[in-house]
Amino acid sequence: MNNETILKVDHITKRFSGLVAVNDLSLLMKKRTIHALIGPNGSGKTTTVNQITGAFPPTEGEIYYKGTCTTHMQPYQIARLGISRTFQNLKLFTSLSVLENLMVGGHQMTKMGILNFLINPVKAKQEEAQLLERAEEVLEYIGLKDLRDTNVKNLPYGKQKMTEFGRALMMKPELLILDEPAAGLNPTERKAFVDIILKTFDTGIDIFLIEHNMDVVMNICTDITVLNFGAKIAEGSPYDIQNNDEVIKAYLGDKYKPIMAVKKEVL
Amino acid sequence: MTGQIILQLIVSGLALGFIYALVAIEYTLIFNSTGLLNFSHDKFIMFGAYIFAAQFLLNMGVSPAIGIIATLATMFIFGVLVATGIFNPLRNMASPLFAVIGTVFLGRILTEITRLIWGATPFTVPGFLKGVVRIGNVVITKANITVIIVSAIIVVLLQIFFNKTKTGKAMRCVQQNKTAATLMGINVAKNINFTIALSAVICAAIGIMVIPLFTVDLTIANMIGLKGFAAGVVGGFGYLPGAIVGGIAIGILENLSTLVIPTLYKDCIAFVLLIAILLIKPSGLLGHKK
Amino acid sequence: MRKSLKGAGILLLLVILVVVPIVDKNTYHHIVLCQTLVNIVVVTGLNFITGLTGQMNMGTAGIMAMGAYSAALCSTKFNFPIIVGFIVAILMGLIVGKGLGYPSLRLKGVYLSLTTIGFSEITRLVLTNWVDLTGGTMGVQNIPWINLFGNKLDTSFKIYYFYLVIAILVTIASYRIIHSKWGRVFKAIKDNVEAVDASGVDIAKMKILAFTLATVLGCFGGAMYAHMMGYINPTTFTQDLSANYLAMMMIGGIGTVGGSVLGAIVITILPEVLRFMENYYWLVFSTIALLFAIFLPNGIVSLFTGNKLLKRFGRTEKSFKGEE
Repeated sequence: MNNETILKVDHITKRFSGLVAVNDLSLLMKKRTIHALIGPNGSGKTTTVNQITGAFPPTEGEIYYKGTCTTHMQPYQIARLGISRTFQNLKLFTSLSVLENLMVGGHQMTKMGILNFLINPVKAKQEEAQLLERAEEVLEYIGLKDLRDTNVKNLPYGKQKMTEFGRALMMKPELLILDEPAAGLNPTERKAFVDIILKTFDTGIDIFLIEHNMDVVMNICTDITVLNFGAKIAEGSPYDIQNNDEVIKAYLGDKYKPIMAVKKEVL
Repeated sequence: MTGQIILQLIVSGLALGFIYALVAIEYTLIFNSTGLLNFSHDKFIMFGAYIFAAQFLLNMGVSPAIGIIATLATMFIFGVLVATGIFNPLRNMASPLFAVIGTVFLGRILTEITRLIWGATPFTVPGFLKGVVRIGNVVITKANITVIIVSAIIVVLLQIFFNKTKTGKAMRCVQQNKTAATLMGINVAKNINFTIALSAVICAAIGIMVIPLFTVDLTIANMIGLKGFAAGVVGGFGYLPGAIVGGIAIGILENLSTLVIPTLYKDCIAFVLLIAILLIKPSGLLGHKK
Repeated sequence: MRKSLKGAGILLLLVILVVVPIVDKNTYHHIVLCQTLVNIVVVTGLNFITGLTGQMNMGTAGIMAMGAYSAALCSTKFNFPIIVGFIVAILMGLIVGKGLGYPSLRLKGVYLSLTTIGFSEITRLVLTNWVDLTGGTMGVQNIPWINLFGNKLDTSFKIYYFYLVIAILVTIASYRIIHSKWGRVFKAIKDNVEAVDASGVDIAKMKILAFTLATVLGCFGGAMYAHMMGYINPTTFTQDLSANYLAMMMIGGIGTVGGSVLGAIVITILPEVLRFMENYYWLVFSTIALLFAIFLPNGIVSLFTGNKLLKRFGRTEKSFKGEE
């Protein structure tokens, strides 16, 4: 593995008692790319992401992050290596405010032990203030400063998604994995989300995403991997993918190419 | 001679093991269908034993056969009532904590009601399933034989019920996915009521069967309730065949343990096994993954 | 406005707690009041694992028994100074917390309830049967009074004020933890485990920490109990006791310090108030607790904060998501 590769998925297969969800999938994600994983429903995209982030190990095969084998690590260990993620169906802390949600995302950066905390209130305050500062920075960044003390369950869907995105940023990841960031958003929200993804990429964070919205994928991604029935059917640049016959047949549909060309200008 | 003792221990362990297995089945049924642990299940068993022994046999003097049927029927109705009034409301709460506390206090209320109706004095039922049978050199009490046979029958009946009848299949649907079950036209609340009633009936059966084994008092089922919980985990949590294997394993092992440790501490075996299984093989002896 | 009201409430409660034993000179009432303070300490601990983190601890009785017997045996059988007994009780809390937490909290599910309930029963069994060490059903007698800098606290009245100070310190520490990064993570674990995991937090470690806080305070409370009563035996530490602590936590209000304190006060004193019902008082008490679970699940504090029904009906959406 060379220095240009941040993530390497090496021949992974995942079986759920007989059902093969991911079949002998290999992919390389290069540094400084926005890499998309696309494919029809049930093609194993989320299963792949769950294996990369450690929710469950692959049945066969290995996964490497910057040369470290993460195949059998726990999710929290993988997160500590610098991989942060969002979820397809929002997973927020519904009894906490926006600010508190973000602060949980930054928890693992704090170092103080509980005994020290009880004995040394001054230092405890300092640490909390640091975490708070970071959270407010992120709040500002994602544009939810006005809603910092609102309980997340009272937010509209788009803002909830943004909160989750912010929580993932809290720990200053090097690789950000987004599971369908644009799903369920209206066009305005989607545009804002695309903007912030690009902005985040420019700050030096590499991005791996699953997405169904082709406008988003074709416009922001540099590399695309296409799955169908758990197996890779194509990979390459957006241009390659749009002109790949098998992808068009399995996923994009015959009529997609011309529509694509028009929509590109709209966005 | 030692071989004979071991055989003896295994047989009586098997009987107790079946009891634990039934306890594990009875709480697994409720857990699978509602996601709640019924912490009052030992009180259900105690209640069943009192209804049968104190009310029907001693107070009313009916024959055991009629008493058994009447007890099972009473407990079925009781099950439907607590399901409607307590389990279904608790199931829908924001946190499972309320349900736990709710069932714990339901258990207490049952104990208090039992104490107020039938008194707190321990008693035995003379003549009910007493006596022994000799098979070769092994002496087996009638009570133990009854427990083994009846438990086996209950297990088989449950299997048939879940696999062959419409109600049984619907119950399995509800266990797996309540939303989908609702969409398929299954009345989930009613289904859960039935599951809990079924569980209450099994509790009553356990209660009746343990009468000849122990003295009947308010705490008659505390230990078997606890060991039943352990049995479920040892065999494989939430999995009925696991419950049976776990129960029998605990019953036999704790009896055999008396050969090496003081009898007073044999009740610890179930708990030690529970911890050991959690450390070594959390999916249980049968290794079933849910 | 709201904040000052809260401040006034706390002040009022403090004044009541200080004044009552002076006005009411009944010794039995003093014992009940001391018991209340012990319960505040124990419930505050239980709140971490069960209230905040959402993991059922059903073994508070066993945990308290470990603390009570450690302290009692240290000062009677081994003639150590009382402070050593308290330290041993705290160590015992650490051991129980890690020892029970490690097997049961690494796994998802209801295992903690089962192991703690088992632990509690086994503890009682061993305490009853290991007669040489524990005195069996006779229990441990003549546990010495606490000696504080040469002042012997030899009445419940004197102990009460010492324990009041301890209870206040514990409450403050617990308030600080709840409103710190730990409190936040505990609540987050209750809300959504996967997301906490994905944020790089070692969930098992956090849950074991929350449980250890509960066991340390539980054992400490047990030691306080032993030195206050002067006599302990295994029949105190039954499942009923564990259930009472859960009831205190819930009836006061889950997850808050105020709830734990109010719950401890109400549930310790309510049975005394209900005693006039004689044979029926325990039945009435249990029924009240059950009705609370169904109709006022957010406890007494929710009467003041006004969101009593919110949570109760918040489930529908969640249950659909959870069963995908």
